[in-house]
Amino acid sequence: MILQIRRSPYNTRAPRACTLEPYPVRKKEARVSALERREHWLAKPRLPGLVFLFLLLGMACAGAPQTDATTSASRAASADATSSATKSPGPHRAITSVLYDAAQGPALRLCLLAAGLGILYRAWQFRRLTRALHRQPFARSAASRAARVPSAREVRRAATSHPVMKTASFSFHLFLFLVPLLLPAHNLILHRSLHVSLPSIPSPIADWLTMVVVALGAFFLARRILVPRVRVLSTAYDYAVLLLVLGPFVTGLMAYHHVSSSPWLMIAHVASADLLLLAVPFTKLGHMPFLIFSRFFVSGEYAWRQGRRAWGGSA
Amino acid sequence: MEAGQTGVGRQRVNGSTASAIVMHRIGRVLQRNRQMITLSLQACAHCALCAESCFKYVHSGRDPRFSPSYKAINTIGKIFRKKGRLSESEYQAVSSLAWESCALCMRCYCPVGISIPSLIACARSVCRERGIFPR
Repeated sequence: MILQIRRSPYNTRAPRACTLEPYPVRKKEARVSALERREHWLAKPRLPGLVFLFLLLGMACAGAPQTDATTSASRAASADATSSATKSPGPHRAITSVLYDAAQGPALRLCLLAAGLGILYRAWQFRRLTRALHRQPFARSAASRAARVPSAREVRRAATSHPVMKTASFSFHLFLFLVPLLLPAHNLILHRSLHVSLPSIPSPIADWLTMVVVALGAFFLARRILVPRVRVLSTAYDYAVLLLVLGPFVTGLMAYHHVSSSPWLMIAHVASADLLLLAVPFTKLGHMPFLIFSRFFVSGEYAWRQGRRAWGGSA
Repeated sequence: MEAGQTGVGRQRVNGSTASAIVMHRIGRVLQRNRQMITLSLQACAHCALCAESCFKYVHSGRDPRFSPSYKAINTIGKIFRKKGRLSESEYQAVSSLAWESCALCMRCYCPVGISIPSLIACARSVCRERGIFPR
Protein backbone atom coordinates (compact mmCIF):
# COMPACT_ATOMS: atom_id res chain seq x y z
CA MET A 1 0.00 0.00 0.00
CA ILE A 2 1.48 3.31 -1.04
CA LEU A 3 0.33 6.56 0.46
CA GLN A 4 1.08 9.55 -1.76
CA ILE A 5 1.64 12.75 0.18
CA ARG A 6 1.15 15.99 -1.69
CA ARG A 7 4.28 18.08 -1.81
CA SER A 8 4.51 21.77 -1.12
CA PRO A 9 6.05 23.67 -4.05
CA TYR A 10 8.50 25.37 -1.72
CA ASN A 11 9.59 22.37 0.28
CA THR A 12 12.46 20.69 -1.51
CA ARG A 13 12.69 18.05 1.18
CA ALA A 14 9.71 16.00 0.08
CA PRO A 15 8.09 13.61 2.54
CA ARG A 16 8.94 10.03 1.61
CA ALA A 17 6.07 8.03 0.22
CA CYS A 18 5.02 5.73 3.04
CA THR A 19 5.31 2.10 2.11
CA LEU A 20 4.86 -1.08 4.05
CA GLU A 21 8.09 -2.45 2.62
CA PRO A 22 11.18 -2.72 4.81
CA TYR A 23 13.72 0.07 4.84
CA PRO A 24 16.68 -1.18 2.69
CA VAL A 25 14.78 -0.47 -0.55
CA ARG A 26 16.12 3.06 -0.36
CA LYS A 27 19.70 2.15 -1.30
CA LYS A 28 18.58 0.54 -4.54
CA GLU A 29 16.48 3.57 -5.36
CA ALA A 30 19.43 5.83 -4.83
CA ARG A 31 21.56 3.80 -7.24
CA VAL A 32 18.87 3.93 -9.92
CA SER A 33 18.41 7.65 -9.54
CA ALA A 34 22.18 8.13 -9.77
CA LEU A 35 22.13 6.25 -13.06
CA GLU A 36 19.18 8.28 -14.25
CA ARG A 37 21.01 11.41 -13.34
CA ARG A 38 23.67 10.60 -15.94
CA GLU A 39 21.16 11.46 -18.65
CA HIS A 40 21.38 15.08 -17.70
CA TRP A 41 25.07 15.46 -18.22
CA LEU A 42 24.99 18.95 -16.74
CA ALA A 43 23.09 17.86 -13.67
CA LYS A 44 26.23 16.56 -12.01
CA PRO A 45 27.58 19.47 -10.04
CA ARG A 46 31.22 19.21 -11.00
CA LEU A 47 30.76 18.37 -14.65
CA PRO A 48 30.02 21.75 -16.29
CA GLY A 49 33.17 23.29 -14.94
CA LEU A 50 35.26 20.35 -16.12
CA VAL A 51 33.66 20.38 -19.55
CA PHE A 52 34.29 24.09 -19.87
CA LEU A 53 37.90 23.61 -18.80
CA PHE A 54 38.43 20.79 -21.31
CA LEU A 55 36.84 22.86 -24.06
CA LEU A 56 39.12 25.74 -23.21
CA LEU A 57 42.18 23.49 -23.13
CA GLY A 58 41.13 21.82 -26.36
CA MET A 59 40.71 25.16 -28.04
CA ALA A 60 44.07 26.24 -26.73
CA CYS A 61 45.77 23.14 -28.10
CA ALA A 62 43.88 22.93 -31.39
CA GLY A 63 43.96 26.62 -32.14
CA ALA A 64 46.55 27.11 -34.83
CA PRO A 65 49.19 29.66 -33.83
CA GLN A 66 47.92 32.89 -35.28
CA THR A 67 51.23 34.47 -36.06
CA ASP A 68 50.08 36.01 -39.31
CA ALA A 69 51.52 39.50 -39.34
CA THR A 70 48.65 40.92 -41.37
CA THR A 71 46.02 39.94 -38.82
CA SER A 72 47.96 41.09 -35.79
CA ALA A 73 46.41 44.26 -34.50
CA SER A 74 48.05 47.42 -33.39
CA ARG A 75 48.09 46.43 -29.74
CA ALA A 76 51.03 44.12 -30.29
CA ALA A 77 52.44 46.60 -32.76
CA SER A 78 52.27 49.41 -30.29
CA ALA A 79 53.76 47.11 -27.69
CA ASP A 80 56.65 46.64 -30.10
CA ALA A 81 56.72 50.38 -30.59
CA THR A 82 57.09 50.99 -26.88
CA SER A 83 59.78 48.36 -26.50
CA SER A 84 61.68 49.66 -29.53
CA ALA A 85 61.28 53.17 -28.23
CA THR A 86 63.30 52.21 -25.20
CA LYS A 87 66.39 51.86 -27.36
CA SER A 88 66.52 55.60 -27.85
CA PRO A 89 67.83 57.33 -24.74
CA GLY A 90 65.56 59.33 -22.45
CA PRO A 91 64.41 58.74 -18.87
CA HIS A 92 60.71 59.44 -19.64
CA ARG A 93 60.45 56.67 -22.23
CA ALA A 94 62.35 54.27 -20.02
CA ILE A 95 59.80 54.76 -17.25
CA THR A 96 56.86 54.06 -19.57
CA SER A 97 58.57 50.98 -20.91
CA VAL A 98 59.28 49.68 -17.41
CA LEU A 99 55.69 50.37 -16.36
CA TYR A 100 54.30 48.68 -19.46
CA ASP A 101 56.43 45.60 -18.95
CA ALA A 102 55.48 45.44 -15.28
CA ALA A 103 51.78 45.79 -16.02
CA GLN A 104 51.92 43.19 -18.75
CA GLY A 105 54.13 40.73 -16.91
CA PRO A 106 54.32 40.36 -13.13
CA ALA A 107 51.31 42.56 -12.31
CA LEU A 108 49.12 40.65 -14.74
CA ARG A 109 50.24 37.32 -13.29
CA LEU A 110 49.65 38.57 -9.77
CA CYS A 111 46.18 39.84 -10.63
CA LEU A 112 45.29 36.58 -12.38
CA LEU A 113 46.48 34.63 -9.34
CA ALA A 114 44.54 36.86 -6.94
CA ALA A 115 41.41 36.62 -9.10
CA GLY A 116 41.72 32.83 -9.28
CA LEU A 117 42.23 32.51 -5.54
CA GLY A 118 39.36 34.91 -4.89
CA ILE A 119 37.01 32.90 -7.08
CA LEU A 120 38.13 29.71 -5.30
CA TYR A 121 37.35 31.41 -1.98
CA ARG A 122 33.91 32.34 -3.27
CA ALA A 123 33.37 28.75 -4.38
CA TRP A 124 34.32 27.53 -0.92
CA GLN A 125 31.97 30.06 0.63
CA PHE A 126 29.19 28.91 -1.68
CA ARG A 127 29.86 25.28 -0.77
CA ARG A 128 29.60 26.10 2.91
CA LEU A 129 26.36 27.99 2.40
CA THR A 130 24.68 25.13 0.57
CA ARG A 131 24.08 21.52 1.38
CA ALA A 132 23.90 18.48 -0.84
CA LEU A 133 20.41 17.44 -1.83
CA HIS A 134 20.02 13.68 -1.76
CA ARG A 135 16.35 13.74 -2.51
CA GLN A 136 15.06 14.50 -5.97
CA PRO A 137 15.49 18.13 -6.96
CA PHE A 138 12.76 20.70 -7.22
CA ALA A 139 9.67 19.71 -9.15
CA ARG A 140 6.37 21.52 -9.37
CA SER A 141 3.58 19.63 -7.72
CA ALA A 142 0.28 18.92 -9.42
CA ALA A 143 -1.40 21.14 -6.81
CA SER A 144 0.65 24.21 -7.65
CA ARG A 145 0.11 23.59 -11.36
CA ALA A 146 -3.64 23.38 -10.79
CA ALA A 147 -3.62 26.55 -8.66
CA ARG A 148 -2.43 28.59 -11.66
CA VAL A 149 0.68 29.85 -9.95
CA PRO A 150 2.79 31.44 -12.71
CA SER A 151 5.46 29.00 -13.78
CA ALA A 152 9.15 29.76 -13.53
CA ARG A 153 9.32 30.30 -17.25
CA GLU A 154 6.44 32.75 -17.12
CA VAL A 155 8.02 34.70 -14.29
CA ARG A 156 11.38 34.71 -16.01
CA ARG A 157 9.79 35.87 -19.24
CA ALA A 158 7.97 38.63 -17.38
CA ALA A 159 11.13 39.65 -15.56
CA THR A 160 13.29 39.85 -18.64
CA SER A 161 10.53 40.44 -21.10
CA HIS A 162 11.84 43.68 -22.47
CA PRO A 163 13.44 42.63 -25.77
CA VAL A 164 15.90 45.53 -25.77
CA MET A 165 17.15 44.86 -22.25
CA LYS A 166 17.38 41.12 -22.87
CA THR A 167 19.37 41.50 -26.08
CA ALA A 168 21.56 44.27 -24.66
CA SER A 169 22.45 42.37 -21.51
CA PHE A 170 23.11 39.09 -23.30
CA SER A 171 25.28 40.55 -26.05
CA PHE A 172 27.17 42.80 -23.62
CA HIS A 173 28.15 39.87 -21.43
CA LEU A 174 28.90 37.60 -24.39
CA PHE A 175 31.21 40.05 -26.15
CA LEU A 176 32.76 41.11 -22.86
CA PHE A 177 34.22 37.61 -22.63
CA LEU A 178 34.66 36.72 -26.28
CA VAL A 179 36.41 39.84 -27.61
CA PRO A 180 39.43 39.83 -25.26
CA LEU A 181 39.80 36.05 -25.54
CA LEU A 182 39.55 35.87 -29.33
CA LEU A 183 41.40 39.06 -30.21
CA PRO A 184 44.31 38.30 -32.58
CA ALA A 185 46.71 40.66 -30.81
CA HIS A 186 46.07 39.07 -27.41
CA ASN A 187 46.53 35.62 -28.87
CA LEU A 188 49.74 36.73 -30.49
CA ILE A 189 51.11 37.86 -27.13
CA LEU A 190 49.89 34.60 -25.58
CA HIS A 191 51.58 32.59 -28.29
CA ARG A 192 54.85 34.46 -27.93
CA SER A 193 55.01 34.01 -24.18
CA LEU A 194 53.39 30.61 -23.57
CA HIS A 195 53.31 29.04 -27.07
CA VAL A 196 49.55 28.45 -26.76
CA SER A 197 46.74 30.44 -28.27
CA LEU A 198 43.00 30.41 -28.70
CA PRO A 199 41.38 30.67 -32.12
CA SER A 200 41.03 34.30 -33.07
CA ILE A 201 38.58 36.40 -35.03
CA PRO A 202 39.62 38.96 -37.67
CA SER A 203 40.67 42.30 -36.26
CA PRO A 204 37.98 44.43 -37.99
CA ILE A 205 35.25 42.24 -36.52
CA ALA A 206 36.86 42.47 -33.10
CA ASP A 207 36.97 46.22 -33.56
CA TRP A 208 33.25 46.36 -34.32
CA LEU A 209 32.40 44.08 -31.40
CA THR A 210 34.46 46.28 -29.07
CA MET A 211 32.46 49.26 -30.27
CA VAL A 212 29.29 47.29 -29.54
CA VAL A 213 30.50 46.58 -25.99
CA VAL A 214 31.31 50.25 -25.40
CA ALA A 215 27.95 51.34 -26.84
CA LEU A 216 26.09 48.87 -24.63
CA GLY A 217 28.10 50.08 -21.64
CA ALA A 218 26.94 53.60 -22.46
CA PHE A 219 23.40 52.24 -22.69
CA PHE A 220 23.70 50.73 -19.19
CA LEU A 221 25.11 53.99 -17.90
CA ALA A 222 22.17 55.89 -19.39
CA ARG A 223 19.74 53.35 -17.94
CA ARG A 224 21.33 53.76 -14.53
CA ILE A 225 20.80 57.50 -14.74
CA LEU A 226 17.38 57.60 -16.37
CA VAL A 227 15.33 54.64 -15.12
CA PRO A 228 13.98 55.32 -11.60
CA ARG A 229 14.11 51.77 -10.29
CA VAL A 230 17.79 51.50 -11.20
CA ARG A 231 18.58 55.02 -10.06
CA VAL A 232 17.40 54.37 -6.49
CA LEU A 233 19.87 51.51 -6.24
CA SER A 234 22.81 53.31 -7.84
CA THR A 235 25.70 54.67 -5.85
CA ALA A 236 29.10 56.00 -6.87
CA TYR A 237 30.39 52.44 -6.54
CA ASP A 238 28.08 51.22 -9.32
CA TYR A 239 29.25 53.92 -11.72
CA ALA A 240 32.89 53.23 -10.80
CA VAL A 241 32.55 49.52 -11.52
CA LEU A 242 30.82 50.16 -14.84
CA LEU A 243 33.59 52.55 -15.86
CA LEU A 244 36.19 50.03 -14.70
CA VAL A 245 34.64 47.40 -16.96
CA LEU A 246 34.62 49.79 -19.92
CA GLY A 247 38.17 51.03 -19.25
CA PRO A 248 40.16 48.34 -21.10
CA PHE A 249 37.71 48.41 -24.01
CA VAL A 250 37.82 52.16 -24.48
CA THR A 251 41.61 52.33 -24.20
CA GLY A 252 41.99 49.33 -26.50
CA LEU A 253 39.74 50.96 -29.06
CA MET A 254 41.70 54.20 -28.81
CA ALA A 255 44.98 52.34 -29.28
CA TYR A 256 43.63 50.41 -32.26
CA HIS A 257 42.52 53.60 -33.99
CA HIS A 258 45.77 55.41 -33.13
CA VAL A 259 43.97 58.20 -31.32
CA SER A 260 47.11 58.97 -29.41
CA SER A 261 50.69 57.86 -29.91
CA SER A 262 51.45 58.21 -26.21
CA PRO A 263 52.79 55.04 -24.57
CA TRP A 264 50.63 55.88 -21.54
CA LEU A 265 47.59 54.72 -23.51
CA MET A 266 48.86 51.15 -23.66
CA ILE A 267 49.89 51.34 -20.00
CA ALA A 268 46.36 52.48 -19.13
CA HIS A 269 44.94 49.65 -21.23
CA VAL A 270 46.96 46.92 -19.53
CA ALA A 271 46.70 48.40 -16.04
CA SER A 272 42.93 48.79 -16.25
CA ALA A 273 42.66 45.21 -17.47
CA ASP A 274 44.75 44.11 -14.46
CA LEU A 275 42.47 46.05 -12.13
CA LEU A 276 39.40 44.56 -13.78
CA LEU A 277 40.69 41.02 -13.28
CA LEU A 278 41.52 41.79 -9.68
CA ALA A 279 38.06 43.27 -9.11
CA VAL A 280 36.13 40.20 -10.28
CA PRO A 281 35.97 38.24 -7.01
CA PHE A 282 35.95 41.21 -4.64
CA THR A 283 33.42 43.65 -6.06
CA LYS A 284 29.93 43.28 -7.47
CA LEU A 285 31.53 41.77 -10.55
CA GLY A 286 31.46 38.72 -8.29
CA HIS A 287 28.05 38.07 -9.82
CA MET A 288 29.99 36.29 -12.57
CA PRO A 289 31.11 33.30 -10.45
CA PHE A 290 28.01 33.60 -8.25
CA LEU A 291 25.70 33.19 -11.24
CA ILE A 292 27.41 29.94 -12.20
CA PHE A 293 27.24 28.60 -8.65
CA SER A 294 23.67 29.50 -7.94
CA ARG A 295 21.97 28.98 -11.26
CA PHE A 296 23.69 25.71 -12.16
CA PHE A 297 24.20 23.98 -8.82
CA VAL A 298 21.29 25.04 -6.64
CA SER A 299 18.09 23.17 -7.20
CA GLY A 300 15.08 25.42 -7.53
CA GLU A 301 12.25 26.66 -9.61
CA TYR A 302 14.34 29.22 -11.46
CA ALA A 303 17.48 27.10 -11.84
CA TRP A 304 18.90 26.73 -15.32
CA ARG A 305 19.99 23.18 -14.71
CA GLN A 306 18.79 20.58 -12.26
CA GLY A 307 21.16 21.33 -9.43
CA ARG A 308 21.89 18.94 -6.60
CA ARG A 309 22.34 21.46 -3.82
CA ALA A 310 20.10 23.69 -1.70
CA TRP A 311 20.73 26.84 0.28
CA GLY A 312 21.08 26.50 4.01
CA GLY A 313 24.40 24.85 4.64
CA SER A 314 26.62 25.10 7.68
CA ALA A 315 27.65 28.73 7.66
CA MET B 1 11.92 50.45 25.11
CA GLU B 2 9.96 48.39 27.60
CA ALA B 3 11.47 45.16 28.84
CA GLY B 4 8.29 43.29 28.04
CA GLN B 5 8.41 44.43 24.41
CA THR B 6 11.86 43.04 23.82
CA GLY B 7 10.80 39.57 24.79
CA VAL B 8 13.57 39.30 27.39
CA GLY B 9 11.39 37.77 30.04
CA ARG B 10 8.77 38.52 32.57
CA GLN B 11 11.10 40.01 35.16
CA ARG B 12 11.69 43.71 34.98
CA VAL B 13 15.12 44.73 33.81
CA ASN B 14 16.36 48.23 33.34
CA GLY B 15 16.54 49.77 29.86
CA SER B 16 20.28 49.51 29.25
CA THR B 17 20.44 45.82 30.18
CA ALA B 18 17.46 45.08 27.97
CA SER B 19 18.95 46.91 25.00
CA ALA B 20 22.29 45.15 25.53
CA ILE B 21 20.52 41.80 25.44
CA VAL B 22 18.64 42.84 22.31
CA MET B 23 21.85 43.96 20.62
CA HIS B 24 23.45 40.66 21.55
CA ARG B 25 20.57 38.76 19.99
CA ILE B 26 20.63 40.89 16.84
CA GLY B 27 24.36 40.32 16.62
CA ARG B 28 23.76 36.59 16.89
CA VAL B 29 21.26 36.65 14.01
CA LEU B 30 23.66 38.66 11.86
CA GLN B 31 26.60 36.43 12.76
CA ARG B 32 24.64 33.30 11.89
CA ASN B 33 23.79 34.65 8.44
CA ARG B 34 26.95 36.66 7.87
CA GLN B 35 28.34 34.68 4.93
CA MET B 36 24.98 34.47 3.18
CA ILE B 37 24.43 38.21 3.54
CA THR B 38 27.90 39.24 2.41
CA LEU B 39 27.93 36.88 -0.57
CA SER B 40 24.45 37.93 -1.68
CA LEU B 41 24.94 41.66 -1.23
CA GLN B 42 28.30 41.47 -2.94
CA ALA B 43 26.95 39.57 -5.93
CA CYS B 44 24.01 41.94 -6.43
CA ALA B 45 24.70 43.87 -9.63
CA HIS B 46 22.04 46.51 -8.82
CA CYS B 47 20.49 45.85 -12.22
CA ALA B 48 16.87 46.11 -10.96
CA LEU B 49 15.75 43.34 -13.30
CA CYS B 50 14.06 41.67 -10.34
CA ALA B 51 11.54 44.52 -10.12
CA GLU B 52 9.28 43.25 -12.89
CA SER B 53 8.79 39.91 -11.16
CA CYS B 54 7.44 41.49 -7.94
CA PHE B 55 3.66 41.84 -7.86
CA LYS B 56 3.92 44.55 -5.20
CA TYR B 57 6.10 46.58 -7.56
CA VAL B 58 3.89 46.03 -10.59
CA HIS B 59 0.67 46.86 -8.75
CA SER B 60 1.94 49.91 -6.90
CA GLY B 61 2.31 52.03 -10.00
CA ARG B 62 5.91 50.86 -10.46
CA ASP B 63 7.11 52.58 -7.34
CA PRO B 64 10.88 51.88 -7.23
CA ARG B 65 10.71 51.42 -3.44
CA PHE B 66 8.83 48.17 -4.00
CA SER B 67 11.48 46.53 -6.15
CA PRO B 68 12.90 43.45 -4.39
CA SER B 69 16.52 44.58 -4.59
CA TYR B 70 15.63 47.94 -3.04
CA LYS B 71 13.86 46.15 -0.21
CA ALA B 72 16.77 43.77 0.42
CA ILE B 73 19.46 46.46 0.25
CA ASN B 74 17.57 48.90 2.44
CA THR B 75 16.64 46.37 5.09
CA ILE B 76 19.32 43.77 5.71
CA GLY B 77 22.01 45.70 3.84
CA LYS B 78 21.51 48.72 6.05
CA ILE B 79 21.28 46.65 9.23
CA PHE B 80 24.36 44.64 8.35
CA ARG B 81 26.46 47.68 7.46
CA LYS B 82 25.68 49.33 10.79
CA LYS B 83 25.85 46.03 12.72
CA GLY B 84 22.30 46.47 13.94
CA ARG B 85 22.94 49.87 15.54
CA LEU B 86 20.16 51.75 13.77
CA SER B 87 18.10 54.54 15.25
CA GLU B 88 14.46 54.01 16.14
CA SER B 89 13.19 55.84 13.03
CA GLU B 90 15.54 53.84 10.81
CA TYR B 91 14.23 50.63 12.37
CA GLN B 92 10.68 51.79 11.67
CA ALA B 93 11.58 52.35 8.01
CA VAL B 94 13.29 48.96 7.83
CA SER B 95 10.37 47.17 9.42
CA SER B 96 7.82 48.81 7.15
CA LEU B 97 9.89 47.60 4.18
CA ALA B 98 10.44 44.12 5.56
CA TRP B 99 6.93 43.48 6.91
CA GLU B 100 4.61 45.57 4.76
CA SER B 101 6.29 46.04 1.37
CA CYS B 102 7.15 42.37 0.99
CA ALA B 103 4.80 39.41 1.20
CA LEU B 104 7.63 36.83 1.12
CA CYS B 105 5.78 35.11 -1.71
CA MET B 106 9.14 34.00 -3.15
CA ARG B 107 8.16 34.81 -6.70
CA CYS B 108 10.95 37.34 -7.30
CA TYR B 109 13.33 36.36 -10.05
CA CYS B 110 16.93 37.47 -9.69
CA PRO B 111 18.87 36.89 -12.93
CA VAL B 112 22.03 36.28 -10.92
CA GLY B 113 20.32 33.83 -8.57
CA ILE B 114 20.42 35.68 -5.27
CA SER B 115 17.84 34.42 -2.80
CA ILE B 116 16.15 37.74 -2.06
CA PRO B 117 13.46 36.23 0.22
CA SER B 118 16.17 34.79 2.49
CA LEU B 119 17.65 38.26 2.87
CA ILE B 120 14.29 39.84 3.72
CA ALA B 121 13.47 36.98 6.09
CA CYS B 122 16.76 37.67 7.83
CA ALA B 123 15.81 41.35 8.18
CA ARG B 124 12.52 40.23 9.66
CA SER B 125 14.35 38.11 12.24
CA VAL B 126 16.38 41.15 13.26
CA CYS B 127 13.21 43.22 13.56
CA ARG B 128 11.62 40.46 15.61
CA GLU B 129 14.58 40.42 18.00
CA ARG B 130 14.21 44.17 18.27
CA GLY B 131 10.56 43.72 19.15
CA ILE B 132 9.15 45.22 15.95
CA PHE B 133 6.63 42.93 14.34
CA PRO B 134 2.97 43.06 13.38
CA ARG B 135 0.74 42.06 16.26
